[in-house]
This record gives sequence, structure tokens and C-alpha cells, in this order.
Amino acid sequence: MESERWLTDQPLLLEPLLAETEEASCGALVVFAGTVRDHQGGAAVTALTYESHETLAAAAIAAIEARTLAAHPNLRIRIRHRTGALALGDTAVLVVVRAPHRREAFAVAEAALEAVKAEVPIWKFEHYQEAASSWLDGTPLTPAPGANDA
Amino acid sequence: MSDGITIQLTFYGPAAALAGERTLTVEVASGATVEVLLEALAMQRPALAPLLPRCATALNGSLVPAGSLLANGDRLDLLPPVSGG
Repeated sequence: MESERWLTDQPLLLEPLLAETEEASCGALVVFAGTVRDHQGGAAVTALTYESHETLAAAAIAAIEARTLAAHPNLRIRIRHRTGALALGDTAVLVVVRAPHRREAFAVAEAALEAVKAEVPIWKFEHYQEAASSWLDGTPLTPAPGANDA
Repeated sequence: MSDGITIQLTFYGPAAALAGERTLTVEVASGATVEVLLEALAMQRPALAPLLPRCATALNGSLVPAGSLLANGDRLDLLPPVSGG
């Protein structure tokens, strides 16, 4: 599996995903970009580092895309996640959904993002202005259905 | 230990920080499950103990439940609670 398709340590690019998903029957396009914010709780954040289990993370994202398409055959979806060192404002995750109508596009994009947060083995290491850097406490991994088969 | 099997552990994210290393080779009795190995690991690395019940495990690259049987030479990845997105 080419994990670079879903994960990259390079800046995430939106334009190729928009081009890949062009579809005349889709009248709605939803783009979600998760970006690095400058705080977590009450602490000032200066940067982030994402670590992944590369093969399983790629397989989990691929499985989320695949099951989304199985449930919504008329839709187009791309999910990409950044790894490595990110600065404030950098894009950490992109979800692109095209659907015939807006309600489906919004709902599918949100569900896909929630699935990424629960099913993809990626860990966030936060760098703070006034405290020691630390790993964010996360959500116990929910195995993505079919992730082992991807 | 003549009937022992050797397992190569890899720690990810906060588990590596708590273990104090990225990889660890452990020996467990033949017929041990993932769960048995994790119990032994909690004794060996007390700092990891609170995190282990919340970790998922991947055996030779595939996610597996804690009851899975281990075999000599297996690779076991410890995947703590995730925080992507």
C-alpha cells in the first residue's frame, strides 16, 4: 500500500484533491481543514508534531474512504493527514467531500472527520510556550472496519 | 527458559515516552496471549501500566484483540489512545 497517498510529512495541498473529485452530478462541495491552533486548554501552543503508525494509519484512512463510498456511491471523498513537525496555522488534516446535495456533503464530511479522530493511529505531541511538551491524551483506538484488509 | 518465545515490541506516541525506548524484546511463556504479555510488561515498566489497558495492539501489522495467541518472533505494536485530526 502506498501510504503517502493518505499520509504525508509535506504540506497538504487542496487543489489536487479538488481536481481528483470533480464530478458533474455533485452540486455540493464541503472542504474541512483542521489547522494547528495556538492553544490547548489554557496553555499556549507553539507547534505540533504528529507521529503515526504509517501502514495502519494509511489503511484506516483508506477504510474510512471505502466504507463512505460503499454507503454513498454517488459521492466523492478524499481524506489526507499530515505527519511530522507542523507550525501554527499549518493544515493537519483535509477532508474533501462532493455530493449531489449539501446535507449529505456536510454530514459525510463531519462523520469522516470523527472517524479519523477515533480510528486512525496518529498521535499529537504539543509544544507549549511555558511548559514541557507533552502528548495529548487521546481516544482509545476503535479499529476501523476492514482496516486490516486494506 | 526453554519453552519461552521472544516478541519484539514497538511503542508508539506516548507509550514510547513512558517506556523510555522505542522497541523492546521480551520473552514470555509459549502459549501466552497479548493480554498476558501486557501484564508482564506492566510489571517490567510500571510507568506504562496505567496506559496499557487503553492501548490497542497490532500483531505483525494487523490489529488484534487482547486474547490473541503469540508465536515466537512475532512483532507486537502498542498503540495508545489516538489524537489525530
